[in-house]
Amino acid sequence: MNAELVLLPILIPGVLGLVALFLPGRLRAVLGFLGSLATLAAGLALVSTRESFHHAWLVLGPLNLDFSFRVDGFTGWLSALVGLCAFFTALYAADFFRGRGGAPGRLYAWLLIAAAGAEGVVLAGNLLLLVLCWEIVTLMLFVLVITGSPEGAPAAAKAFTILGFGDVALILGTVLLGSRGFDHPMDFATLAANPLATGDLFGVLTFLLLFAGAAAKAGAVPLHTWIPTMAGPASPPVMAFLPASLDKVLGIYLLARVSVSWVTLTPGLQFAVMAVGAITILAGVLMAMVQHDVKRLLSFHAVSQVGYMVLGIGTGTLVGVLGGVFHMVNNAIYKACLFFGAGAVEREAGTRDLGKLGGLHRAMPVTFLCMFVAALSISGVPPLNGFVSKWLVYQACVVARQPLFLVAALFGSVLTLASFVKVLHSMFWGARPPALDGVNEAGIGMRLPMVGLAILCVLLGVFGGAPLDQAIGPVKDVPAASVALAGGLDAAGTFRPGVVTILLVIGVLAGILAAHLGGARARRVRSVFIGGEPLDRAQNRFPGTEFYRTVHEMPLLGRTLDAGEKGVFDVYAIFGKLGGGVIRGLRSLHTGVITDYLFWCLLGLGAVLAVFFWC
Amino acid sequence: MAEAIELIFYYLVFPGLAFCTILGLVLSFIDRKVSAMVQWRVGPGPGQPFFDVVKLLGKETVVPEESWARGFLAAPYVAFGAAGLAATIVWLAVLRIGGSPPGDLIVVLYLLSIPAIAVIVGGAASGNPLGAVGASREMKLVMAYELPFVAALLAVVFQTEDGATLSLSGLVALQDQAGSAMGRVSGVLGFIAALLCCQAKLGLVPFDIAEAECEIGEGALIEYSGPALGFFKLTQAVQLATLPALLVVVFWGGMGPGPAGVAVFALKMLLIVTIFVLVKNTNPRARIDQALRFFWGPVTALAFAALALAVLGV
Repeated sequence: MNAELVLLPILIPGVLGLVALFLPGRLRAVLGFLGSLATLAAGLALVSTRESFHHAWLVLGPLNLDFSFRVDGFTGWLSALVGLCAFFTALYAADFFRGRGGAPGRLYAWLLIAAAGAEGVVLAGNLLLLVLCWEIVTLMLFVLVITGSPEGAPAAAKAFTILGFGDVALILGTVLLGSRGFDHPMDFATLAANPLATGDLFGVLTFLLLFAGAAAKAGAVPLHTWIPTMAGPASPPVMAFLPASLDKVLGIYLLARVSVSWVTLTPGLQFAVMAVGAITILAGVLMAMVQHDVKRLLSFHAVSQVGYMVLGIGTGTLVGVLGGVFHMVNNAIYKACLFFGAGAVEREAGTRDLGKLGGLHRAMPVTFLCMFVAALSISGVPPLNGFVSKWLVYQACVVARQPLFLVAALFGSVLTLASFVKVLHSMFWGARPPALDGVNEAGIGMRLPMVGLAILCVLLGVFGGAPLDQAIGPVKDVPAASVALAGGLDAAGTFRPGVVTILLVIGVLAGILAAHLGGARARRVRSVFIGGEPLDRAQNRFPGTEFYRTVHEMPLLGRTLDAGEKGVFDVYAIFGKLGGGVIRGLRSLHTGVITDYLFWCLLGLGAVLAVFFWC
Repeated sequence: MAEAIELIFYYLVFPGLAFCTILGLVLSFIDRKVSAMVQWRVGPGPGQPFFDVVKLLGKETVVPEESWARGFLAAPYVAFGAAGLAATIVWLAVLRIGGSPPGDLIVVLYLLSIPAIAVIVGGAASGNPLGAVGASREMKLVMAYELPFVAALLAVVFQTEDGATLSLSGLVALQDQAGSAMGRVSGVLGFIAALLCCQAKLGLVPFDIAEAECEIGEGALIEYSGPALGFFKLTQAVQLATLPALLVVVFWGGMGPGPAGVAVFALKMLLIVTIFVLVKNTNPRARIDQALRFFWGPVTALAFAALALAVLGV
């Protein structure tokens, strides 16, 4: 195989995206579709290959930078995943914007460039290249959010600010990591061969900076608030593509690289990372419980799920890292499916207010079933993929002896389930409000990605051992054979997803058979019984917004959640206020009176002189 | 192949679905008889729970017009299958049957929550607003008891200094060596908390809030009839045979050898079931907000105390 093949998944979408910038709308859509398909194909070609592309590039004094990309057993799969996300998003967007004058602005071009950036991050073999591609993705997120929705500007600015903070931290961390005086200081090989110890301040600071960069991208508490804010204005394809799946993939990929091979974590730092994970799980899901806007609700789950990945990686155990990384893959799949489904319902029903939806299971059966599977998967119901990866994270908590974090993870999973019961009920079950009588199923272009993702949810769950062995095992550079997970996942406990599935199917069939042998085949269809009264669909509804009123009325909890909803815990708002205070202070100095300015000048001069004489 | 057939036998016949169904129906007879005794009635004969189920299996099924019929009708069977699989894994550990059961404590926890999910899906999918109220209450109840239940079980998992394990047979083996968890303060506290949670998991008074016959007419089950309802009843029976066994195996050690071991285990299970029945007959139904407060307040405190003591080695 040619080493140049490694470049294809980056070059194809990158070049096509740049070309698409200058094409008229219709052609741009075609190019977006074909380009993402080609990216997927190029990614798939890299699956389970090990290859690296190396080109000496730049020598700056002691710093020699190489233009190097590489693919190992793991990143090939990730590259394919990025391609898959891009392809499904392009397919979905084509149908989503049909009848509305096509995709707004240069959406497809930005989409392709973002995909190129993400592929670059995944395939980079050099930390500086990784950071460069990372910035492209940040920028594209900003552009994608404001494309076609001018009201998205404040949300895009907020995202750009928080991500910008994270990126600056990442760059500083990169500089520190590379400043240790090795040859080729930014190459992955160098970094992995000389892991940074975190016993001293330098090590701790470097790690925390890198961690902040990864956490902001992935959306871990407290750097998560940009995701819920952009959930309103950003279009569903954009939400599904970047904040829900790819940003998580990039953030967690970096975190895994950093904490597995580049930095040796002290137990204290591991504890801190795990704590961030556990808090993220609970804070995200609790906030999701009280949401009434389905996209905003999903975005809080997008935050909550990151917690599992961070928690797993933070344990520092093999099983935890595998679980965290596998969860990252699974999350990309089911979260994209959920956002696609929510977008389809919003498009067809004209609202995303859970209080106004209901009873759509008959009107939109495919969307409903896909969201049902994805919802069960994110809630970690066996034997779907979400359960397999969460189960690994739980085992890791046991191995690392962290009972509190384990309780947080398990309880977070129950709350996730509860939240999605509400979503499913208020969108698809219950009585259909008369206003939604004319709603139809989403178009084929929107259904196909959802169906594909839902099927992946099932396959990755039932055959959960295979991806772990083939794809994710190599993340820790363990040969697949020695990952003690082959088929059995017997790392710390036991779980055989395939066996569980087969047994469950047999049990359900046995039950149905027994019921048939009971002789009852008569079936009657009747209106529902509500105490003998006729059902009035407009009146006799139990909208999902009422589902968890009791929880909201719990002492302390409700008030905390309300405060969270108002942005009391939002770092962006807090620092905004702080910054505003500083600015106000500075502004009050500008009185326009010349004597005041002279006074400040004299004071400054005095300070300079004082420093001169003292030193 | 032989292993597969063995596993299927474990699951379908013994100690899985068939065995636990029958055991659960016998236990539900004991429930009804003891309840009758408490209320100064004679109570039903031993065959009554079986007759009830057989009768339901022969009745016609009524499907509500507005419902998601497939999900509505599939829910009870999925509940039954999942409860049976949890029962198999728990009872294999109880009986110390080796081989490799397909799951551990976490898997059992999740499988045991599938019946509740099925009730919720069935109730919500029925399209009946009262069913939806029942589903919402059931979900809140799950949220309420799952937190202390998990913490209480982990009090046993993290009890040992080294080699904390989530495998049920591993827990049994550990208790064989170091004595049962009930011999420690943490184990007793955890057991009490878990017992209270199981009362709610089984939907027994005072936590039958989701069914509340006289308020919302069986809640999530309101539209169910015929075999579908029958299989929800069978699922309850399987759970009644599984949860006490899970409590015993986690907190009180596995089954000892010989007839004496079986008798001791049976007595432990009977004791737990009797506690369930007595609590059920001496308490009025709680409101859902009271249940939430109760489980997230004192019970969670108790469970976390157990967990803390366990980590400290008490």
